[in-house]
Amino acid sequence: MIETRNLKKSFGTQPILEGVDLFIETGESAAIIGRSGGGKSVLLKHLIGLLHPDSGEVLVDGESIGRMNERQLLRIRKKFGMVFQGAALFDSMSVAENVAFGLRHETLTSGEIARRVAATLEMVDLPGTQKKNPAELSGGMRKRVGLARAIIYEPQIILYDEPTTGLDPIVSDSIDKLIIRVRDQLKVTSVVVTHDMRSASRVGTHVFMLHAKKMYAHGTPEEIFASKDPIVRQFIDGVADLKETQF
Amino acid sequence: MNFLGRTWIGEWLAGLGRIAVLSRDAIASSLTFKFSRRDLLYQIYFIGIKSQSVVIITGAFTGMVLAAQTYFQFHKIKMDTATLAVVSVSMCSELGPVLTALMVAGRVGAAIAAELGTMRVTEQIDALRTLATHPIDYLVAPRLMASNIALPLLAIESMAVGIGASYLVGVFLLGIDPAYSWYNLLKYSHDSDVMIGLIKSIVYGGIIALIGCYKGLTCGVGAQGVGKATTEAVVYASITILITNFFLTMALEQLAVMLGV
Repeated sequence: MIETRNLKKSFGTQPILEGVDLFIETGESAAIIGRSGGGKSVLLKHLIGLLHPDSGEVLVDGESIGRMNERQLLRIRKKFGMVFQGAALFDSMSVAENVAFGLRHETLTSGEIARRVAATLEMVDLPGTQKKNPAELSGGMRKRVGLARAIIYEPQIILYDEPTTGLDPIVSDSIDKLIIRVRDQLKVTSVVVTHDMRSASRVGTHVFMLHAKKMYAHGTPEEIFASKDPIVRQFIDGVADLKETQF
Repeated sequence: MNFLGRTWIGEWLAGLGRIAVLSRDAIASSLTFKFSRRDLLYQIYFIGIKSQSVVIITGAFTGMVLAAQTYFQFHKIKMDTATLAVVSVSMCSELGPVLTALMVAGRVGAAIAAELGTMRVTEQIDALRTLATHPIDYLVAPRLMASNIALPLLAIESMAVGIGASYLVGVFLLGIDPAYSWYNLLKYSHDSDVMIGLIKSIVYGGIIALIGCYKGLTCGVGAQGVGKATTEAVVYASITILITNFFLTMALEQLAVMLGV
């Protein structure tokens, strides 16, 4: 269970989040939508303690993590896996070393590690890529290696930061299907930050919309897509105000 | 306090505070061995083995030029055979550790800042944190420990190469009597000179690793941020080494006198 209560965050004098309330039940798949630069990734980073709130609370399984120090957070983060927007693969390591990184705290034989890496790469449809270097991979492949790295140690919660951004529709579709496959096979709680409405409707069992630095709307994908609210409608239909498109 | 925070002195004090906290955490992590042996060995290889060429060339030519300059002055007052003793004491307590540290600061300090800075701007450090790995344990502690191990060894190498090169220049090029030179060298060089050099090297190793890591971990956004962090790591480490050297020299020489070594 993940919860934020009246979460506020500013960078310098620029407020990003002004009292965000969020509740995600265990096993739920939540899609957080909102405009670019609206604070979705900032919110996501608070959920895993990469950022600390100025005020308000972040609770993971009922435990407040907002004031924990880096070493205390290590225990909490073992529950999480995170897939980054740019994949954030370790470029000095091979694909296999990247994927196996999450197992370094476990006492496993090298054979067992190799077996689990191969099985995880199989799950993300990248078999036989162990020896490749991250620089040799396409954007979609990098995202999939990032996903493999995040799931190999079987976390309870997986966070996805813009998993389909910058990918073509076919690769985006494959990433969406992978997110659904991982959710169903590993029975994890998923939190997907996206501004891709098609992706949000497919991977989310619950959709949250961040607008004007607050949680503006939430509901099932059907409820959100059927909403008559002008702000929600404008975002779903992708209609810009003329003044916003001037350049 | 807000006014102080906005001024450059406020920023400077805040930076000092941050590097002090980083140093405390890194030393604590190093002493409790929260890093893998493999990472430590790789860093010793990178900092120690890969710095051989610059350290040997620097040590050799410094010893050679110091021998030549000392000889030119001492020759005027018929003290030729004291040349190597001066070179030896200088190389052991000052030039060996300081020049080695400055060369390593340029090579390794820059590399550490650039590597960690790039990791920061490409979210690789955030990725480490999400994988329940403390950046201090994984990135800073092995570099600090490796630097503390490698620098004294490199300094010893620099001292030996410098003294050896000065012997070759003094005896074979400038014609100084080898037996008297060697006698004077042993007479005026003490264990304390080497110990002072080694203690300094350990401190400079820490300075290089900590400033490089700090600049990398706190670098600004984009390529410009990484470039600035890299430059600052080298400049700040070099200046800190030179300033620290004066105070260390005064303190360690006093200590050597007090202990009678």
